[in-house]
Amino acid sequence: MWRRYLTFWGRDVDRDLRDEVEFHIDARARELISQGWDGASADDEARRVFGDPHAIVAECRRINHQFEQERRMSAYLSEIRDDMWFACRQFRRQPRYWAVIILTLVVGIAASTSLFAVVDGVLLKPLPYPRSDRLVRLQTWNLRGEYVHLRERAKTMSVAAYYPAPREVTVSIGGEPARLSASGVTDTLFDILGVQPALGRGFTTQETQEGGTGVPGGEYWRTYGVVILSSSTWRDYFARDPRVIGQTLIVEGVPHTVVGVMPPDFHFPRRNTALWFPHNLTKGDLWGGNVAMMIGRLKDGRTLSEARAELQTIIPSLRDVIPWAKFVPSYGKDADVEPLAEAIVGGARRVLLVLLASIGVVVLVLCVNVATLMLARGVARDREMVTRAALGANRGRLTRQVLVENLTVALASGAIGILTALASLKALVRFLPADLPRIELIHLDARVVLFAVSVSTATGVAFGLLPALRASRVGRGLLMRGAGGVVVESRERRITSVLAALEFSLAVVLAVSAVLLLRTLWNLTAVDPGFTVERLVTARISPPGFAKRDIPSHHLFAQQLLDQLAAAPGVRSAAVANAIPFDAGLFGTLFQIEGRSDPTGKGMLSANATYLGVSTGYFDTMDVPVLAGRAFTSLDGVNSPRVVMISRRIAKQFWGNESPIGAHIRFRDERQPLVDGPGKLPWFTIVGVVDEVHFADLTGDTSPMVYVPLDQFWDLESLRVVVRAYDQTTSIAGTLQAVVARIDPSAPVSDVRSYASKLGDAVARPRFAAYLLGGFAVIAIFLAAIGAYGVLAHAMSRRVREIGVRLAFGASSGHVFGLLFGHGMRLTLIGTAIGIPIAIGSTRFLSALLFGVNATEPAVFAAVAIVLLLVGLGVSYIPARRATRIDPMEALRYE
Amino acid sequence: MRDDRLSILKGALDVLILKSLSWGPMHGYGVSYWIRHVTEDAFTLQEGVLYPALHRLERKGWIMSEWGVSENNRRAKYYELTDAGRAQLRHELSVWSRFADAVSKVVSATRKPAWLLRR
Repeated sequence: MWRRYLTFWGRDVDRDLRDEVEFHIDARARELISQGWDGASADDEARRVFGDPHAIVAECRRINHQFEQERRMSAYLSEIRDDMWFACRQFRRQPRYWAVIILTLVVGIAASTSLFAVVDGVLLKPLPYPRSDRLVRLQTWNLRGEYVHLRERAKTMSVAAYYPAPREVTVSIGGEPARLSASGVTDTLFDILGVQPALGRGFTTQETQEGGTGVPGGEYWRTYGVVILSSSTWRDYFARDPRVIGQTLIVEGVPHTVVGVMPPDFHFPRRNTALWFPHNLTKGDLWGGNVAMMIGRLKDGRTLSEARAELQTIIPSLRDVIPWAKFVPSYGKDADVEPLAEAIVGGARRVLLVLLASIGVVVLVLCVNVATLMLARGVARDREMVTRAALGANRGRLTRQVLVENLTVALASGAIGILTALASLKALVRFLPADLPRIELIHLDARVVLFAVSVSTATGVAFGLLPALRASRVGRGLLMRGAGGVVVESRERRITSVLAALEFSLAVVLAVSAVLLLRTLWNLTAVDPGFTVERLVTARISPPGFAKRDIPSHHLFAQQLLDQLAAAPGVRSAAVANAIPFDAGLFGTLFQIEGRSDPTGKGMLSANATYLGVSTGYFDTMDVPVLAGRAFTSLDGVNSPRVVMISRRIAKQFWGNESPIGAHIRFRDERQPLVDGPGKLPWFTIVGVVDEVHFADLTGDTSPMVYVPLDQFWDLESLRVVVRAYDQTTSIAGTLQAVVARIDPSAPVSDVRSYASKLGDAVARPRFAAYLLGGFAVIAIFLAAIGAYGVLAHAMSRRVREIGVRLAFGASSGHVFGLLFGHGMRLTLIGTAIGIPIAIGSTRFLSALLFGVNATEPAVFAAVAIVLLLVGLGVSYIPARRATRIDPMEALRYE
Repeated sequence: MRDDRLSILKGALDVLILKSLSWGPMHGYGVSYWIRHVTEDAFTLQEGVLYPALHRLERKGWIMSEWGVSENNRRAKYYELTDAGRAQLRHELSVWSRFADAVSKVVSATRKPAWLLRR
């Protein structure tokens, strides 16, 4: 700056200052001489009273420099202000043109910002734990014994465990029963995560040892009767009373002492975890049950790969101590360690990355589109630019003016876009699949706003660059009338055509992806779950301590419930079970078939299946057809001979074409009542075969199922009710609550919902991805259409004269039509043709998300290509049609 | 020997310069000469201090400068009040005279306050 200033003012500034000072000193010396001083001492005195001339000169120079800078700055700002003001005048002069651009930008920025907020919250933000990059999840078979061994032997990390499945417990507070989500954790878990209770303390080692008193929610929960509350539980049930520590909470009928309250943003292992209990891992079968999901914190200086190597040494070495290891050759082969952040985001990662990529494509299309429109208009503005250049505006000035104009537009659109995103984010979050992890971290925070501002600036610069370069060329006089202008102009037209074609290519990619995902969604919803969901309502009923009651008391409760429901208005039929399809949880069992030593042919005594305890009327209510034999009746009671029903798949696998009716199986489960005498697992007679039901997901195979009459079933922690309504399901929830309250007022009714919505959750992720990508594709096609239309309309207006000449010399209107229509169709065809291989290349990344449709399904590509060609057809038709109506005489007078 | 001359009040220099220039265009030396003579050398002003002030006033647009020829045929820079400078001078003068008036009333008061008599 200083150097520029020097060159601007020349060297004279310093000389002038020195001259001024010397003149003063000289004049003062003369004055003194006239008063009688002699020459030399007069000069000394004059210099003395003047002070240090160097300091004075420097001070003057500083003042001049400072003012000069301020002047330049204010001149610059006022120029920018002029440019912006000019831009605003432009907007007012062509409101429709600018409205299209701003609308385009707002849509793009709002869409990409709110989606970025989602991706940022779920995928990009670090976990809310100190040094969370050191946290890992261990992939093992989640056995107690594995935890016990790892805790002792792991050198690279410290390990903690928690109960993997979500558990709900019944909590009585002031007589009101409530169902709260709970988790069992080892004493070290909070330490490893690095989060301490906000109030009170964590669990002691003693509390997670054998011998606790309370057993809430099932056999794995052995506690000393202590519980830690989440911050929201503390708020909802204790009104944030700081004296909560030491108070008593009744869990499943057992009093528990509150020992701690976690901080508000602690959500582990699940977002809605409300209570934590000590999780005992030393009691019970060390090598059975999936009960110990493990996380670890890498020790200082240890790396992820060291931890992985260690785990892959320790886990396979356990084969020597695991009694059943010889039956399971695969044990220990899949042990692995992955960063906890990746484990938590898990399957959502791919969907979100696909969405992130599609945001990028939409933003790209957006830039291209606006650039196309700007360029098209840039040509029209040449005259203005030439005039301004002629009036003395230099290249930099013209370029800056165009850039400022575009940035003004982009930032204004960005501001509106952020506001739109703010308004739409709430709706978007509600639309997100409920099982998406870390939803609570989705906010429109500074990071997201920064993203939005960068996108706006980037689009502003990107779409402004071409027109700005163009403006600078105008400054060089290249676009003055004459041959040079025509050359540049045809080049501009080529660029805009290429850009418009590019938009079609990108639209193809998005549209193909969207169609693939929509087909997936359609295929998923078309999958027959094996039962009829219409007018089916489900609920969970959890009398406190239900798990510990005896079988007759379960029977009594279920029977009362069914009797009362059968008599209730609007209920066509009702049934209860311990679990129903699409419940989360673990319902696996091992069974043996009488007379077969190796039923699966894999050298194993047992086969595995999903098993359910169901009441009479279950198959009738769910509408699952009984294929052979009979369904359960009220005669299959507690003391009757043991009976089961099996699914078609099991029948087919083990009996082939023979009838399995009358065959015997037994369950390898020590908890069941040993009715045949101590130590003897009872045999169950197969009395019927039912059709297949999807239990856990719609995409995979159906799981083999064994059904046991509820009265003979032992693994019962709460009841699932299914009610088939006569016509409408709305009143059923109230009826259910009333009926349960009559039987046991302390039993909470939770998770009341229609089966349709329960199944809807199973396709929530694919639906989310499909709808969003579908939206993007529509936006992209729309933008491509606008872009192509802009290019053609502009080309037509530039060629009015040429067309006039052609018409005047006898060209047919068909020829003129073909000229422009051909231009439009050419760019559509080329764009689509280029888009297809790009789409083939990119849809490969989608294949993991697809179901029932191939990522390179030709029909999908063909359909998309046809749609885009039709769009191109429509877009080319209108300007071409208009061109044929040009009056040659008027056209020649044009301009 | 004690120096009885006054150090100049901060900000007063601007008024002095503007006032000097109100007689007509002057070079820096002229301004300093005039001030010395009018005040009868009452200020301990380093004469050089005048120049930064002149440049600052010029940048503020209150005075403007032009190179000319001095009485003894030397190149000298002449300063001249602008309209804005004249307005500024009027403003400063009214502030200054009110200030001086108030101070002199206080320091030259001769009567003891009446309410002190009661003591």
